[in-house]
Amino acid sequence: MTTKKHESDTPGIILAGIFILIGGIFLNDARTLLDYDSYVFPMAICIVMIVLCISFIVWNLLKPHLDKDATAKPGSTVRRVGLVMLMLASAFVMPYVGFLPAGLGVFAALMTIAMFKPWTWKLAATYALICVAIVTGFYVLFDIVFLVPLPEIPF
Amino acid sequence: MHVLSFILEAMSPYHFSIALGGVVAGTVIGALPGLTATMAIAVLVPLTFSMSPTAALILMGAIYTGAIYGGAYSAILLNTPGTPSAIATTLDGYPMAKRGDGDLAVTLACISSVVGGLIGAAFLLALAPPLAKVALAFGPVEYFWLAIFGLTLISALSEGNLLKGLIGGCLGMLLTTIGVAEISSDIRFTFGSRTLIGGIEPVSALIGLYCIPVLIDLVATPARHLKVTSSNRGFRLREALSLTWRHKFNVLRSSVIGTIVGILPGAGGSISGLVAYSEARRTSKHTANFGNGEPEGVQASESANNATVGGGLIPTLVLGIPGTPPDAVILGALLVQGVRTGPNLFVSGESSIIYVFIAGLFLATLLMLPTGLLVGRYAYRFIITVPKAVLVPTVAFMTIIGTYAIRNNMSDVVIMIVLGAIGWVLDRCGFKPSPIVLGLILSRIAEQGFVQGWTIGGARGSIIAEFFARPISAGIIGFICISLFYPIIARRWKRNKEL
Repeated sequence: MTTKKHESDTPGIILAGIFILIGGIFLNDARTLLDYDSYVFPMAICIVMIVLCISFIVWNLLKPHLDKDATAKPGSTVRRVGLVMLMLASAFVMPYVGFLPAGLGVFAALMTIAMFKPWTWKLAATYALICVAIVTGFYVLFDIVFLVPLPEIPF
Repeated sequence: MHVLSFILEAMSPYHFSIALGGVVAGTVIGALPGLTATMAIAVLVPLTFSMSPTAALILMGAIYTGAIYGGAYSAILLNTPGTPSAIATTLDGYPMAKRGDGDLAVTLACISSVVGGLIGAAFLLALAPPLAKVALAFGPVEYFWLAIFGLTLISALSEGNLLKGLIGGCLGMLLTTIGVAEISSDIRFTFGSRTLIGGIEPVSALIGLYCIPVLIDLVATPARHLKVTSSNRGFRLREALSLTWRHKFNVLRSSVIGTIVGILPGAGGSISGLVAYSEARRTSKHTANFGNGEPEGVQASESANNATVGGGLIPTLVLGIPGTPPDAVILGALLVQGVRTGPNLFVSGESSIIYVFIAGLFLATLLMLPTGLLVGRYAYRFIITVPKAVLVPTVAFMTIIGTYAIRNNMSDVVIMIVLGAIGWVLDRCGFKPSPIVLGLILSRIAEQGFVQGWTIGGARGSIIAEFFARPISAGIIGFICISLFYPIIARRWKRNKEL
């Protein structure tokens, strides 16, 4: 007779540990606030969160079980990281170079990392036109129609 | 005779075209993540200054109705609520779209929105003055318990992972405390960062938490975004109507919930959608399917959020207290028009304006059916046929510009992207985004109610009595207990019955 070995939810336990740390930092920072209106609610939330995290860790250590929802997702990590980095770059660059140049650059770069087919001249030309049309369309819609003050070209 | 004249005036070619234009504009704006119903009305309010008060009200009501419904498109097709009101729509709408039923989900959302909108407008017409008085009985403590009632949805959203759901909810609530404090205006938890002084804007956070993880996974593989079915199934109107008829009590109950929550000043469509979703899940025969593409979930959320339009207008028009944020803009525009809101509005000489407006609201809600079905059909076909290399940058760009537009602040965009990336990691570890978003949305109401209730209770000499002994509070606490423990009791009861 073999005994079935239960795997514990290690990523969940690590994250619960991180949340305890975050709760502790917030709790410590809340002590610097003078007005009780400001600290009573966040302190209560921090304490509840820490208690829940400790319960989660203890429960997992006593009765280990792997979370079915916590599944690895297939796909390219480089593209994933690239997407986040490009989006962040656009947020940092836009105020300095203006919406249109930054938008066109980032849109084209995002198109490149989301493309899984080989590029041809025809495809590149079509996508370049789409890129210009969409970015300009967004610019017109938000800046001119909705009067959102988008970052301007500084020169 | 009077009623007929109001209806005829609302249906005049001028008012009809204004209502149609408003619904289309509202639907398009509402579908863009980051552009809320409030913003849709605020942007278009200057157009109303040159109009008659009746036409202005009809236009604003139509934009509002359309925008609330428009939020469902991106919620269903992109897992990104176009407006906060559509948060609960993502929970089952997106799974439906992923399995190839996006067209059905959009049609269901449209029909449910129309039914909800009509019921909300009917309440506005029939019961405005008495219902507005009920809303005044809600104090800070009642709002606190209402927010907690909304949070009990976490237990419904995290079956099998309740602890993770509750931790996520706490994290969401904690994130909201960053920045300027709700009551005292102290600056909290910024740790010296200027980016965090403005706090975490809930709409940008929910765009990040819902949309960025989808984009991150979308860009990683060449697989299609949504399942494409080979046959052209049209609007699937008959199927949607049949489902609506089958779940008519769910739609009716959700619409009434939406109207009541809409009446409560400051609550709004996001809370009504969540409360209605929670109730639909609790009472459904298919509880286990919720969160995996259950049509009842979409119906509950969409009928409730559109019912808040009529519900929210009740305190706005009767008491001059805006029920929802868009109502505040409408109230401002009414003041510009010289219309004095208040209890006498329904009996004074200006009452005809209000009754024509209500007739116009009915008209705009009905116009949402053809408009919504047509726009929804094209939106669905566009999303499933557009190449990934165009879809990913377009949606990414939409999230960036939409988030920026909320407060014209690039820090919100950075926070949105960072939260989205963190949300993706959390999701992989089994911490779902929905409880975090719930915490984010409900935390402000909960904190305000909690601190004010604490202060009032302290001044009266008994904090416990303030929180637990008020009749409405006790009623809401009863609902919270039912919502939390009903699934457990029902499961045990079922098990005992089987034995």
